[in-house]
Amino acid sequence: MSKVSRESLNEAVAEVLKGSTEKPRKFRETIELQIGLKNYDPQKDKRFSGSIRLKHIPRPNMKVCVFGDQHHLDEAAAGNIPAMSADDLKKLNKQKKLIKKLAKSYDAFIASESLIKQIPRILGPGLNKAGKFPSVVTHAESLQSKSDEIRATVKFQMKKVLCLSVAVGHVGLSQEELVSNISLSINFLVSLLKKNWQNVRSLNIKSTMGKPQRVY
Amino acid sequence: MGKSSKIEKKSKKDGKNGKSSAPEGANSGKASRFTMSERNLGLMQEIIRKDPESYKEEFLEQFNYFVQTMKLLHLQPEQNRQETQSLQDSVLFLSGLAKHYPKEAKQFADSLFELLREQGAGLDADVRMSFCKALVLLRNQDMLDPIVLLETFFELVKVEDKVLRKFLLASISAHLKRVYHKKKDVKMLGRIQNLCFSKMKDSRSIVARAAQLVCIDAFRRKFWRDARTANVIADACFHKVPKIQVTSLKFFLGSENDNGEDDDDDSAIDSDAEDNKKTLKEVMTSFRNVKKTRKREKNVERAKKMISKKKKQKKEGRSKECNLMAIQSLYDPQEFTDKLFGALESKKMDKFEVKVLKIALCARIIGIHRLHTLSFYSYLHRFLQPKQRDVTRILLYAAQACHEMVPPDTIEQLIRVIANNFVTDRNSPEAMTVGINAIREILSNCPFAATEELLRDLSEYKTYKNKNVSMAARSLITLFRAVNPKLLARKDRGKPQEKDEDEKEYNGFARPKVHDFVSGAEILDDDGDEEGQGHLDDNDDDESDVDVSDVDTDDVDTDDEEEEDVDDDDGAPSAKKRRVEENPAENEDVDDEEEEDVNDEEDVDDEELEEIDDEDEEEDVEEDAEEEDSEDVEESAAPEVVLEEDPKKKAAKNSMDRILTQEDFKNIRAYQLKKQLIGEKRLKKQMGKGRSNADERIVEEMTEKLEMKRSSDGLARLSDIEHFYKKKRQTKEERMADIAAGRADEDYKFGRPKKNGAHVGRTNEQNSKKKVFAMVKNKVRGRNRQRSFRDQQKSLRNYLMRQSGRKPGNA
Repeated sequence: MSKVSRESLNEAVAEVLKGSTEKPRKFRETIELQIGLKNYDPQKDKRFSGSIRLKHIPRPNMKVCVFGDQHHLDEAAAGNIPAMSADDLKKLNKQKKLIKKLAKSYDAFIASESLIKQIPRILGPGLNKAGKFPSVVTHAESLQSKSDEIRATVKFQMKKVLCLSVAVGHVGLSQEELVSNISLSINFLVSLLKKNWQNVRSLNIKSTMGKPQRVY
Repeated sequence: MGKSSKIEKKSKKDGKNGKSSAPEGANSGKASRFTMSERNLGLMQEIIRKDPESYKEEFLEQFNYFVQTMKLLHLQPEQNRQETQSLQDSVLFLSGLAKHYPKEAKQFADSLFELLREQGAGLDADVRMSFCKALVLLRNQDMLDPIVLLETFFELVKVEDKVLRKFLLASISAHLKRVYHKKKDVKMLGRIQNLCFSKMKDSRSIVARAAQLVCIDAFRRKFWRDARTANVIADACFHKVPKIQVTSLKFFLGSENDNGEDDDDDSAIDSDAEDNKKTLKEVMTSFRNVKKTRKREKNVERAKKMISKKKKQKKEGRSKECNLMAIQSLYDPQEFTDKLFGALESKKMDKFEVKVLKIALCARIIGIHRLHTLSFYSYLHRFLQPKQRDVTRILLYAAQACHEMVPPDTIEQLIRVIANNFVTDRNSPEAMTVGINAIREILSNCPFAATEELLRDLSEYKTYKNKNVSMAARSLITLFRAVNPKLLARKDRGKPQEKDEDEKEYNGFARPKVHDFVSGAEILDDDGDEEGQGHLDDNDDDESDVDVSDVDTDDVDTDDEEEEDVDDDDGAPSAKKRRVEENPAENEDVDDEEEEDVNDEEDVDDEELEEIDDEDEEEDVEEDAEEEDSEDVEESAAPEVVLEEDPKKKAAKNSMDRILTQEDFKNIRAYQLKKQLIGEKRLKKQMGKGRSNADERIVEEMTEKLEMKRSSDGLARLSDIEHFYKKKRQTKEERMADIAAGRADEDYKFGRPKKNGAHVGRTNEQNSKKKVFAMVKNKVRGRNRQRSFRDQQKSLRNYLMRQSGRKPGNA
């Protein structure tokens, strides 16, 4: 039998949505999936990580910045996407503070193919340290679709502790969309684990300000 | 806080002593009594322990004697052993009884402290040691503040006395163990930790070193296994004294002999030990219930010894695991590496060994944390010469420092340097082998750095006359067959096959792999109620679908982003197959099923393969024009999609619509395992008919290595670099050493004949006469079989007569 029944998941999602409509906040609440693991030794077992593209964008407000060559800069200007050229980056002059600030002010970065190789050289390790090393975009892809793709991608990565949480949606999504997002991410997470469901202690979903709903 | 009051008390007591000094002077006249009690202080200790109240007087007497001698010692600390023997005895006596007389104990401890602090260096070594032992005893009875004691101990470390230092360190870590295990006193542990950390910054290097050793020991033994300790030890990497640096570096690197094989055997040892435990239990129970003979006793002893040996091995393995953890818990690895690298580059001359250690640590941290320290690679260039000392190690570190996040051009330069310096005909075959191996390791870490030209150049060596070189080149080719066959020359590519890059996190530099669905979910039926066996059979068609699409996409890989989707398609289903192998024990049943399955379906597979081959040929024809080709892919892929439900879509649907159960995952794993088995077979088949045993070995080794990479920390091993397929001929010394090693456990099985014992000097025949009949019965019977004809006749006759009911013998 399935560990998480469809009904209970539906109920939990409904509960979360109800909570957010009852007491609307001044911002769009994000719904996140919180996972507790067990039978896992974070020091010994290899840390797992994997990313999956959800069908419905969980964080539409994510700020994505483009490090582009001329082609991409033009495209970004047309699409009203924040963009920086190589010269802009060189102006930062490898100053740690400025790079940190840059890393802080955006959620993700994408860079053109021609530029990506130079980025470690131009910017130093700052972006990598913040975990926001840009991903590459070719001329064939449109910047808009690429940044949407990044917005839709969530990363599961276990760190030093036995719990992790990922954003799987926001309260603006419909019930069905949320359920499909959540079940996809649960399935993916469980497939990452060494012993699948035997490694899962608990699953909770909650909106930013709402109460957590235990699913498993 | 208690210190000042203590000092007051002490001074008070000192005053009291001063007062009582006059009668004690008289006391010393009664030396006879002392000598009497001195002789059997042990006995007296026993007596007093039984009834401390009533024997207080005796205790005080001894105590006063102690106070007197201490005064003397104050005045002339360097007394010889004879003179201080009685003092040592009385110190032992008093410390044993101290808990019954807390007031005196306090004074006793204080005077010991005072003397050690003021004249620690000048005392006789024995006296000092006995004082320290007494203090440890007092501490174990909780009679004094451990912090004060620790401080005194750290002061005493300065004294140049090896035995004392060893004792002090041992007693500190024993105390930590006590606090950690028995009392679980977290607060006290923290206080001690703080003290040690502050001592590590001490200006006197010996004190700092002692504190460092304590910290490292406590980290290894899990008393202080936390990020804070690791970082304090990391700070010591920049200590001005090289010895302290080296200790810290070695701590992070695990052990001085580089990450050898025991690291990867760790889990094996673990399970082995468990098995052994079980067997020990069995042995012990069976021993208990059986007649005790000398042989059985010996067997049990041997079993025990074996187990302790295994345990020891395990312990050694554990210290390696701790280094990974320590590296992982660095607060700011990037900063740390930059600093360490800065120290490497600075003008200051280190010894070569220290330098290598620093390079090693840099490389490992870069590899584990995926850092960007780009100048490190160019720094390594200067060491990459065949004549360089420890060059295999440096090659190994170069390989360990490479990861997917490093810009490919940097790595490319590094590889080019290695190729130019090592892989040329003017070098020795060993150097070439090592160079190719190192390049292989580097490229397996970041395959995007490979260039077609270089790779084809290197693969020319596959026909080199030296076997080691040619095998190394072949293993490089095999790696790229799995990773990116496009870069190889046409003839080296082999037949297209499933790719092995499924579990990778990156598809290219800065191109993270993103899944769209749970890989392998397409095999599940929508209702998901069927049994696994049925599933797999049902899905044969389905699978062939996937395979075909594999073939289609193999050659067009990474040309266009659009095709990446197709790529994902075939990459995804077989992701995770490594993990399946990680815990084979668990999936054993599945395995068995699988194997049967595969055997049953072998024919089917072959058919499939043939199909694929056909397709492949078609593809080959078209391959020249890539654009055409890519169109072709879409065309050829499209009908498949129409034919059956697109596996990708199905997987997406499955993983979106319902929550998969444990059963489902089991099925997925089984399916993937099966695919992998087919894949391996295909990999071998791909080599064509001319493949040799060596080729198969390469394939096996590579799959093994890839697995290992995923299971542990993922760093290359020295054995990978120094891998020679053909063993070098051993010298005579080496052979002799091997023989000696073999002899060590020879007596385990057949030992040499014993030199003494009841049997010595007798023939086996004589021995057999003393044996219990049951033991030699069979042999006697054997002798029966070689009877003479007459005897046989006789016994036959007797037998027949007995059969016919007559008495034998009287014919």
